[in-house]
Amino acid sequence: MLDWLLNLDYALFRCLNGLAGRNALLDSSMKAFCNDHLVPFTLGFLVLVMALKGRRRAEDRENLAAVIRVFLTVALSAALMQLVITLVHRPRPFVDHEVNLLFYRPVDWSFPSNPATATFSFFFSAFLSDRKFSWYFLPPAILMSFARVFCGVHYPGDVLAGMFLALFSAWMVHRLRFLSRPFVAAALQVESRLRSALSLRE
Amino acid sequence: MTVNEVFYEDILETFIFCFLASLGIIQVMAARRGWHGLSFYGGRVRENVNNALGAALIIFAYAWYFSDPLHRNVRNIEALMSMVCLILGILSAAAFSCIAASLSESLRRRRLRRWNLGHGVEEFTERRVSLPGGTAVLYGDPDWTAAKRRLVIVGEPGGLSRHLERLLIHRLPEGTAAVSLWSRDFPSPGGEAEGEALDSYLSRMLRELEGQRLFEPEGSSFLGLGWGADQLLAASRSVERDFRPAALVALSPVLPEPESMTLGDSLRSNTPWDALKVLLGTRPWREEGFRSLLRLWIPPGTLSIVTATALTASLHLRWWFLSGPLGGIIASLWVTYYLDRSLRRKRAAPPREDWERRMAGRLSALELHGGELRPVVILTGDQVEEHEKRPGTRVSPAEGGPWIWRRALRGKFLLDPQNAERLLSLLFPEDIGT
Repeated sequence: MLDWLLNLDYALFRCLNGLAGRNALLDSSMKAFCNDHLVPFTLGFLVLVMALKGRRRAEDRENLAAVIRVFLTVALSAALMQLVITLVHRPRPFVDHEVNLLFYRPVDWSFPSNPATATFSFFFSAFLSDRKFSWYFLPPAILMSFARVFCGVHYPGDVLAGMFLALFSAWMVHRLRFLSRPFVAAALQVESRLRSALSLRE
Repeated sequence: MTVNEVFYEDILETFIFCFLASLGIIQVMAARRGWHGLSFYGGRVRENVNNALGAALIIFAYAWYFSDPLHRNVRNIEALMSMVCLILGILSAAAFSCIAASLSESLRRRRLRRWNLGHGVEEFTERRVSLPGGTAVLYGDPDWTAAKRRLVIVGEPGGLSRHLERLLIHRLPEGTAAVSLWSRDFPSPGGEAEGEALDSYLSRMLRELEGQRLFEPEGSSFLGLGWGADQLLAASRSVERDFRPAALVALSPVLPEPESMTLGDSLRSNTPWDALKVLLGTRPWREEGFRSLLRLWIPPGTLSIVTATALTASLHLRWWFLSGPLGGIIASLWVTYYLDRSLRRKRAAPPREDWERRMAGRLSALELHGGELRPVVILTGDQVEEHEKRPGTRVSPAEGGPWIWRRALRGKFLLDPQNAERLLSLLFPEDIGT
């Protein structure tokens, strides 16, 4: 069963990675999305927008709680990913096979995909707090995950595992509210004291 | 360059990228939200300027950072350091926005004060008198018996509205004696002053001045400013009864929004420095709730910080001397929260209610139009939202409802020079005319 899954994973990988090197424009776009910084930082800035986008203070307070949960989800998924990495040692595709490599050679294990875990943690956590705004997180997450396979540094299975970890972490953080409640309460206290400090000055 | 030097340069560049992009986002959002208190150039937020500035910063940050081949498909700083750079970049951008906005606004205010003093308005004498529970400042000619009209200003606690008071007094018609009163402390819900109504403090101070033959409050016009306006509204009936005032004007009282029980949004017109001054004025560290939490936090806090630091040091984590204590503080916040909850449950104590909710509960009892004289209430543009959710908002000023000055900002009141004239015309309608 495991062999069958690994073969399927490799077949899918060949199919997607086989698209690389055919079109210069597509290659450069995928290289850009594969970048370690472009998508993760853009998602980080989207979280800042999420924190400030409300129209009233009541909305701001909900958004602040959502942002704290996003960061907790990212932290939890990173911890779970480290745990999986210590247990499962899957080499990168370019180690065992001939691939169209458009990226530098990462030295860590392939399973699960670190970028997919991080970017989908942003999306799933935002989705569980604010359905409407969360869709802005999805295209960058999908593009980055796809680009990692396209550029030859991850198998599709790594990406799927990362997505699953992200979903599980987001679900845990949102389901088990006791994890985030103290941080949300502290942040709301600070927000309340600062934003209600009104004065008539000149 | 050594590997370490490249690493630190990379961290610095990543931090600058996050800082610039976050600064741009904050400026765009400030324009969208109408946060006049965060405008970089003093005065009001100008939407187009802020949007252009924000977009330019974001585009520049991306173009500059990704134009470097080191940041394109090359192994550099690890994910954790990227996350740290992102968080520090966002926090620094927020801090920079606060400092720049406060600084530019304070320069604008200084220019305004200088301009006033340089345009035919002379310096006047001030006499400060310490009174039980507060301070009084007597302005101008101390011989109140010769004054044609008298003005009592109820300023913000701790003298926070002092500059506005002085600028208003500069514009008073000749022959006006004025006194400004500030309570020492902010009204504290649940504090000593809870039972003792605010009106008794005002009457006591005025009686004291009268006793010392420094001022005659009888028949004066009364003006409350900001938090002082709340104090004046609370005391309006007893002021009417005891001093028969010529006019009662409450300028921009703090009004709670009944649905969310919030008091407003300081960023809509106050700079972060203004807000910080008010926050310090309320002395949160003296509140019993804060003290008890601090006492509760110290043992788990110390233990968590020491344990986390030892752990990060033994694992040779990068910058363990920072990450250890920070991790310890975060863990101790979590522990303290649940420790406090379980202790309160054991003692059958009610859950903690925050300061703003308690203040909102207290202030929502204020009547905007009370006794025979009916105080004139003026609301500034940043208060319209709160006001519209209150019952009876459709009442016009002629029927005793509040005036709404949409263009006026609570934290930048004299940005429109005609605001002072309009205010004085309400205080002395016979002299100045409406």
